[in-house]
Amino acid sequence: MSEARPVVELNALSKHYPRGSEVVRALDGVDLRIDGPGMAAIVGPSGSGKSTLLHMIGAMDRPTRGEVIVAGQILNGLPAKALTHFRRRTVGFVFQTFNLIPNLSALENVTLPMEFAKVGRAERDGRARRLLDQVGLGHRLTHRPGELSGGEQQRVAIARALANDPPLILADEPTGNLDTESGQTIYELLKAVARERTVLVVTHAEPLARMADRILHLKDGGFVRTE
Amino acid sequence: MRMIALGVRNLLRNRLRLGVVAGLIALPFFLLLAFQAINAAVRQHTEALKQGVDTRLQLRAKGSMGHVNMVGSSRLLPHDALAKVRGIEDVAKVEPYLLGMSPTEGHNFAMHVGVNVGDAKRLESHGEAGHPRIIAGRDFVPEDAGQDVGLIGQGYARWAGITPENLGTARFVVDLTRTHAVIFPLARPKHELKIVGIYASGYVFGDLQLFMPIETFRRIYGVDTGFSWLFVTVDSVDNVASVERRLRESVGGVADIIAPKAAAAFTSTTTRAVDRVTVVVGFLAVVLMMVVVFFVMLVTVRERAREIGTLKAIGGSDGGIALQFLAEAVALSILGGVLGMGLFRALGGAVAGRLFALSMAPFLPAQYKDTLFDSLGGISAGLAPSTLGLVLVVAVLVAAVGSGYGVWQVTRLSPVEAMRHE
Repeated sequence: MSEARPVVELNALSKHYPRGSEVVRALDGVDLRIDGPGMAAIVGPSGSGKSTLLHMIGAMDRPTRGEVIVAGQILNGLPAKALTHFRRRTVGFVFQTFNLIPNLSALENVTLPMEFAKVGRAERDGRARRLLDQVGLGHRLTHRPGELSGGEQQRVAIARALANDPPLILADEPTGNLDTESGQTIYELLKAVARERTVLVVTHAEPLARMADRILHLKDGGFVRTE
Repeated sequence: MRMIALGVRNLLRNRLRLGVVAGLIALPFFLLLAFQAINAAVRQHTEALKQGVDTRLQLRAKGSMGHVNMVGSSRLLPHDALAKVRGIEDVAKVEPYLLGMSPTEGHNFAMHVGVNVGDAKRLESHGEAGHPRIIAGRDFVPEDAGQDVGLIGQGYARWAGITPENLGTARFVVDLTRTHAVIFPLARPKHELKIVGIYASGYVFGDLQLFMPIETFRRIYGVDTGFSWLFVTVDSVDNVASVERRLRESVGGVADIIAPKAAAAFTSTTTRAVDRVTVVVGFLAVVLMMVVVFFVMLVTVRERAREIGTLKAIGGSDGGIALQFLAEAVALSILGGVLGMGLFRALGGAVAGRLFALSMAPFLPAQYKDTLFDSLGGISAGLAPSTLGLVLVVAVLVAAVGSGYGVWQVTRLSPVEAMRHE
């Protein structure tokens, strides 16, 4: 019986970038393997490379060295078009600042990734409504981001991340801009999402990290401890 | 199509942004249309001014006044000069004149002028005199050609005892044997003319002339060939210089050519000044419109770099995102253009005068400033649909380039870099 394929596999991953005359080593030779489904939390002090790590895994940025394998796809060297397809189908991203498109309604924001994936109108509308129902916003379909609270916006963002049914959800400080109550709702949503897929969350929030199946401690561009 | 629809939908959702950006595009568009209309009005005014500029050259035998009985100045232009001059391009009309003199009393003399009956009756070389105005009787008619008839100035008529009352019966006798210090006698029989009209010119020497059909003049004076003067009218003030050059090439050996100074001055100063100013102002207006539209679109795209980064992060392709923003740019520029046209229709006339006074008037000759300023109130209807269409197409293209450049700058970055891009 063969070993299950990991959802995320990083081998000697480094990300260096210049800052003035210095070179910042945001990630330096990181190795990681995450099997799904479930939730993994990456914690660490500011500047430890948490967000950079998430960006590498989500093909949002290119590494300086090392290998990134997500859902069996080696991201290194993939052309821009293939990376676009990867972001569209394989990962869903949840940002700290929600990053919803301000001129579109909640429903339209959720249908947008499906429009990119050329999903038919009826199917994407139905799926978007179901997802918004699941995050408790079935009654706010036509509201624009400016008409929603921070917590509601983040719930729309989670629904959007799930739109194309990706195997991996990446969440970067998803409760960083929310009050405690809204943050709690988001924790629970992400935990529910993690039942069927892998959720990798970067957080400073202790309660969210405690809900994760695995906690990875990052410091100075490398993992120092795993719980 | 999906991305184009997304772009247009996105545009229509933010009405404030839509209004501000469309307004920013409409303003230079409006200015461009206003300047195009002002340029058109200035050129139209120039054409009107050209109509009033003297485009007539005068030819006479070299070194001679061409008066057939004037001491030392009786040499005439050769007869074939008329055909040569008529054959020159851009010559609209040639009017041959024959002139002779007759003593009146003391040291004064009158002028006898032979003309084609349909031609203008000009008063001999005195600018102070106006055009002849018939005050009694009638002007020449075509049937007078070759007849013994005359049209006499009121001063000469008084000397000859011709009044409006005896005009029907009075006769004028031309006696070429009479002499004067500058007039030599001609052994020609006395000739009687029937005077058909008396004219006034407003100037004493202008009133001392007698016009007769040129064929009659030849018969009376015994001049079978040649001409005293040829008046050459050029079709346009723009062609006066070239016609003068060709006249010198053709008949310059036998003729003195007197060119109108006003035409040369108009060509060298007014026309050139107008051309220069309208070209510069038109160019600046186009450049202003292009620069403003380009940078407005560039800025409106770049301030949405974070949105572009997000679209990339959730699976938008670079091409699709570019298409979405280009659709927005095209729709915005069309809207801005239409808004600019509307503004132009509504306010063009009111603003054009002020624009003209501020921009072009200081650089134009004086004859443009007041008259043209007054006429600019009605310019808004003056632009051709083709001009409007061309300006709109240019605006759309520039908007597409500005937007496309902005999108290219952002989409070539990774999603993370795009979101951080400023």
